[in-house]
Amino acid sequence: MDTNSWLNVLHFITAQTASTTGNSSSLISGEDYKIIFACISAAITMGLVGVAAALSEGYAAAKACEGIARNPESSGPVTRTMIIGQAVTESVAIYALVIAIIILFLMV
Amino acid sequence: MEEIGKRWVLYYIPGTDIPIPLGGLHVYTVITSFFVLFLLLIISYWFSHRFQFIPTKTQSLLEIIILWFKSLIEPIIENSNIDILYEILPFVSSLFLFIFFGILLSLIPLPYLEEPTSDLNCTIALALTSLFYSWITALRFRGFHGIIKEFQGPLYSEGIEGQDKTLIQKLSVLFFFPFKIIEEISKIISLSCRLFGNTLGSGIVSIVISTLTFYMFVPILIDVLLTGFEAFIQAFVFASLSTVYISSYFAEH
Repeated sequence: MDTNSWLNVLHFITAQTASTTGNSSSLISGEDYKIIFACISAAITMGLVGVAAALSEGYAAAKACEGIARNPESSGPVTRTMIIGQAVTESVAIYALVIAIIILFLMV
Repeated sequence: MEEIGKRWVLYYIPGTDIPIPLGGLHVYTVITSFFVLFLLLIISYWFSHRFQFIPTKTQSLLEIIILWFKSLIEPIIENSNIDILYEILPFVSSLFLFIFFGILLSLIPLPYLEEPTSDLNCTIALALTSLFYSWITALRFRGFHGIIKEFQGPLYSEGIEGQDKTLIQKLSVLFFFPFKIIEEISKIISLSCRLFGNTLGSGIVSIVISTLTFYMFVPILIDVLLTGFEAFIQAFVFASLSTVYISSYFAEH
């Protein structure tokens, strides 16, 4: 299945929704494809990086919980180290957010 | 919601045709950051223009804040370099206070009043300031030789003092030096993009929730909670990472 048939499917769906809303005269042009694919790619970017960032930050928080439960006096340094480590981990998600914002606001 | 990324940029000096160098001037960013700076200056002067041996209430508050900052950066610096703690304490605490009050500034309900750190130029300026300060501190305390030693990599400085270096040690400098340069550049990118993305992201979340609930009273609470949490965490992280980068030049090998 080449990319042109995917475009035809997308064209069919959006033409159907356009006809049901009563605006049947407007067919999709190249600019609309640009907006549609920008939205889809931004959503995929944020979704994938959300999975990775949530898993890794939850892992760090779970390990910090274990450490505090084993040695409750060390809760201050452990929490501080956990926050710094989670911030460094989160920077990957933040790069993806910046890329998604660039896609949405500058490329469209 | 269509005006999220839009900012008012002056490309020319008003009334003339002279272009402003470096691509223009972001007016609201400059105004809000100078507002935060003057606010902090006035508060700190008002609290500290006369110190007493028996502290008053405001002086006690100030001392509590300074001691909290000291306890924040003391575990990061190693014990052998504890004498640079009082050197970098004013810089790190002013970074913390600027970011904290800069993000809290968006709670004031005025139009066009945004955080100065939701502009990438401001955060890049903060990151560059932090990095140059780390270089200058390393120059002052360890000299030019210390920085060169840091850039040569760990393998070159091994061995007995005064002994000739082996060929592998000399070749390892060629390997480590580009990575050290890339590391410095990536420090700028990670510091600035983290602060920018976090402040802009929390602002977008507030806007989206307000739009979904048609600007009822619930988003005020969410906005205050989210902004306060965001301000504290981001200021804490930026100050801690600046301390880590400064003290990385003082690490013992």
